[in-house]
Amino acid sequence: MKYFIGVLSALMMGSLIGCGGGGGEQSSAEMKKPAAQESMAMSADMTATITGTIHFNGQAPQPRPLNQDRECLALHEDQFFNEDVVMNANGTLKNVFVYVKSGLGDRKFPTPLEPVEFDQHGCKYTPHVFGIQTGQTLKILNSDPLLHNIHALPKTNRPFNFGMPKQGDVREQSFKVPEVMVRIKCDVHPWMGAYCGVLDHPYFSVSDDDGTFSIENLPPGEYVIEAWHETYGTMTQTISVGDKETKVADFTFGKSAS
Amino acid sequence: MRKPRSIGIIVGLFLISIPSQRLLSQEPDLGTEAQREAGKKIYLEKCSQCHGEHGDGSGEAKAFLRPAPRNFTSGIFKFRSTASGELPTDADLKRSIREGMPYTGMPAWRDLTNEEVANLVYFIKTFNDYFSGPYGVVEPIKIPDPPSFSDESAKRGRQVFLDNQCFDCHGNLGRGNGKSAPTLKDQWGYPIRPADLTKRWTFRNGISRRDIYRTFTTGLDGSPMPSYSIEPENQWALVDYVYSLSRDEPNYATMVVAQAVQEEIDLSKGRSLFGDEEGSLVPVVGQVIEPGRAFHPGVNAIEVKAIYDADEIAVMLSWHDMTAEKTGENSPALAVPKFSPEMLAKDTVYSGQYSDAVAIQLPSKIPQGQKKPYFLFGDKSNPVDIWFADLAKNKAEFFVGKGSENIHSGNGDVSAISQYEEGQWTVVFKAARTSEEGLSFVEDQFIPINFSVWDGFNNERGNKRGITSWYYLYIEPMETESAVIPMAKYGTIVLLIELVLIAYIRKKYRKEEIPAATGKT
Repeated sequence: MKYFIGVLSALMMGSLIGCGGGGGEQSSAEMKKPAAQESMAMSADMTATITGTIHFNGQAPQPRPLNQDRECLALHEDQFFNEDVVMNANGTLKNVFVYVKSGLGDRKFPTPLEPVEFDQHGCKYTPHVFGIQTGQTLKILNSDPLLHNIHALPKTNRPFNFGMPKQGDVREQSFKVPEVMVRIKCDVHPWMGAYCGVLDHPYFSVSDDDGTFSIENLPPGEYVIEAWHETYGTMTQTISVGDKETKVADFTFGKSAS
Repeated sequence: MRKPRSIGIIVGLFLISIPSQRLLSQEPDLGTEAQREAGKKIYLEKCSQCHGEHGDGSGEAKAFLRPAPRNFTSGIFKFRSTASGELPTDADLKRSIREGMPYTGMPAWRDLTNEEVANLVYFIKTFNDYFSGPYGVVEPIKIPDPPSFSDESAKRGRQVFLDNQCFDCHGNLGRGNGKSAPTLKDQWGYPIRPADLTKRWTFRNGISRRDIYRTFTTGLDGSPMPSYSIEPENQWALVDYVYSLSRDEPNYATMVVAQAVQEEIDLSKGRSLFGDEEGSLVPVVGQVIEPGRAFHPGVNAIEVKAIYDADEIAVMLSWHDMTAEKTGENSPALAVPKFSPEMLAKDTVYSGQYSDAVAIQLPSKIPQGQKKPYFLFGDKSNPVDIWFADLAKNKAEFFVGKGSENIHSGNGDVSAISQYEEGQWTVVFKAARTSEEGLSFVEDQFIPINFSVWDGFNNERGNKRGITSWYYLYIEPMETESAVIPMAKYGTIVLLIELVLIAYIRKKYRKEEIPAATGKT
C-alpha cells in the first residue's frame, strides 16, 4: 500500500513538472481538460456585450471584377469581385475587424483548442478577414486542384510561406505575438489577399453581411474598441459596459467620417 | 529500507524522462558583450556600406543593388536550414557570409577568421528582437543522406516538378518564365524573378543537391518561394530533376566559330539552321560605364551560333527571358534620363514603353593588329556596324556607331527573324558575306564581334542594356575535298611515270649491256 502511494505521488509529481516545463504549444491531453474548465469558470462573470454596425458615408466604390487567370476562372461560374471594399446591400461595410484594443488589464485568456479554418477555394480566401488568438492553430486548407502558396507577411510575428500544390493539402501554423493585422497573400495569384487579426484574448468580431458585429462575454469595464478596415484604416471608441449590459458602438467609415 | 530506495529510483526515472521539452526551450545564444562589440567593428568596416549602419539595408549602395541588401532589422532571411516561419541558425548566417551570393552584390567573405564571422553573426542578431525573443531558439531541418544521382530519378523528378506546379513560377522548362513570374514581388514590394533552373551557377542558396533539397523544403523567406512538404520518396527525385537541368559552372566561350553550310541559308528555318549542338555561351553584364547605366540587367548570358554559305553569313543569338515584350519600341540611340536613385527605383517597374531588342556589333573595317573599336558602340576613328533587331518589329535595322552619342542609320543590308518560345528568344541575323565598302566575311579570318541585349520588361533602352566584351567570330574555311584523293592521284601518276622511266632505262640498258656481258664471259 505504502509502495503504491509512493508510485502514485511520483507519477503526479512527474506530470506536474512535465506540464510546468512545457512551453505551451504542444498541449497534451491532460492539459486540455483544465483549459476547458478554466474558460467556463471565467465566463461566469463575463456577461457584457458590445455590438454595433459599420456604416459607410459617401459614394461606394464600384466593385471591380478580379482579373483571374483561365485556370482559376474554370473553378467557378460566378464572377468574383475585388474584396478591398465590400459594401452590403443595406449600405453597411463588410469585413471590418472590430476588437478590444485595451482595457482588459493583465487578464490572461486560455488559448482555444479549436483551430481557425482558413480555406483557399476558387482562387479566393475564405474568410477574407478573420481573427485568431495567439497560440491558436490556424488550419490552412486548399480546396483547389492547383498550386496556391499561403504567404503570411506579419511584422511582429514570423512570416511563413507554404506551397500547397494539391487539393486537400492541409498545413497548420500559429502566431505567437498579438498583431493587428497580418496580411496573407498568394504569390501565384496576386489578386488573392486576406487579413488576420492576432490577439491574446477572444474579444474580436468581423462585420458581416448586414454590417454588424458583436463582442460578447466581456467582463464589465471600460474599453477602447478599434475598428479596422483594409482600405479605410482604423477608428476607435471608448466604451464602458456594466454587468450583463449591452452597449452599442457604431462606426462610420468613408469620406466625411469623423 | 528497500522500498524507499525503489521509490527513489522511480522518481528519479520520471525526472529524467521529463525534460525533453525543457531541453528545447534553451536560451538563445546571443554571445557576450565583447563578442558583439568585436562584431560591430567588422560590420561597420565591411558591411554597413550596403546593409546600413543600423542594419536596415539602406546603405549608400542600396540604389545600385538588386536584390536590395538585406534589412537585418526585419529579421527575415532567405537562406535558412529551418522551417518556414523560423529564424536562421547561426550556421546559416555564417554560410551566407562565407559563401556570398552569386549574381548579387554580396561577395564571399572567405578571408575572415571563424571567430570574426561568429562575432559578426552575434552583432547582426542584435538588429532584431526575434533573436532574443520567443522565436530565438531554432532547430535545423534534417536532410537525409542523398542517394546517388541517377537519370531515372531525374526523369521521375520531372513528374514531381509537374505535380507540385513548380512551373507556375519557374516555367515548363525551368527557364524562370512561369505565368506568375512577371507579377512576383518580394516582402518589400520590389519585383523579384524566379530562378532560372537551367543555370545552377546562379543559385544563391548553393548548387549542391543538398542545397537544392534545402531550398524547396525551407522556402526562401522574404521571397515568393514557399516551403514545400514533398513526399519523402519524391524529394530526391525533384532534386535530381532540377540538378539535371544544368551544370555547376557555365561553359563560357572564348570565340564563335562560323561553320560552312552547303545549302543556301533560308532564314525562315530559324533555329533549326544551326543544328542541335550547344553554341558559344557568352556572359552579359550591365552597361555601367556610360550614362544610362543598367545596374540590374535582365539577361545574364547569350548563346551564339554562326553559319555561312557561299554568299551569306547568319548569326543566331538566343537567351532566356521571363517575358517577351513585343510592344513598344527600342533603339540603341534612345535617350535614357540622367541617373538618380529615385529614377532607378522608378525604372524597375515595367512601363510597357520598351520592347525587347538585341544587337550585334562588328568593326566597320577589319582592324589592323590588336586594336578594336571602343566596345560601347565604337569611336570616331573606329566606327562599328550595328545589326539591330527591335523584337516588336521582327526585322533588322543597320546602324553605324561612332560612340554611343553618335549612332546613325547606315546602308548595310541585314535581315533578321525572331521567335520567342518556352521562355527563350531566338534571333537570327543574316547579311551578305562580301561588301564593296564595308566589312567582308572572308574565310579563315578572325573578326571582332560583341553583343548587346535589351530587356523591355526591365525598361532597358539605349545605353541601359546588357553588354558583352569583344569576342572573335572565326570564319572556319569551307571544307574542300579531302586531300587524300588528290594526294593518291598525284602519287599514282608519279609512280607510273617512275615505273615507265625505270622500265625504259632497264629496257635500254638490257639491249646494250647484255650482249656486252655475254661478250665478256
